[in-house]
Amino acid sequence: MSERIALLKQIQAVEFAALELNLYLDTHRDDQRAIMEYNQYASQLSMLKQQFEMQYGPLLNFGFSPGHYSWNWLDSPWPWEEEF
Amino acid sequence: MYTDYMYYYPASTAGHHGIYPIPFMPPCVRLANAYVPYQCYTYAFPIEEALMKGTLFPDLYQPYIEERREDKKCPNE
Repeated sequence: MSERIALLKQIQAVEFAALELNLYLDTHRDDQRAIMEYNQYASQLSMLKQQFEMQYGPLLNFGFSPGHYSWNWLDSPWPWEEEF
Repeated sequence: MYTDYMYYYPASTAGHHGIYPIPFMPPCVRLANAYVPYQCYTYAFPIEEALMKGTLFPDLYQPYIEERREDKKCPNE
């Protein structure tokens, strides 16, 4: 597995965990442990996304990294071209 | 409010329930009413496993596995 795919998979896993805790906290607002874990995953996620975008280009439009010259939004692979 | 709410938590959450002011089930359940038990966070799957299973919470992991009709008997039968 390429390093790019490994990083992408890590982002997916961390983002999913953050989202799960996000939803859980909607009904458990006083769960300190869940809040702590949510914050850990959220900050880890933003670091991973930043790392990914620096190395491999943007994940989202108006995302975490500025547009490059030349416009690297057009670079492959597109999401449906990914091979996991 | 619920002074003896610990009673309503499943044993698996022992040591953890102190932080919840909400009981696992309402204190006075009524017949013919539907209730959703309050989720307790016991432990989490490793995050790569959670992504594959579709939930971070082992208590919520209930994959659909098709069973043959005769296998569907209640365990008490």
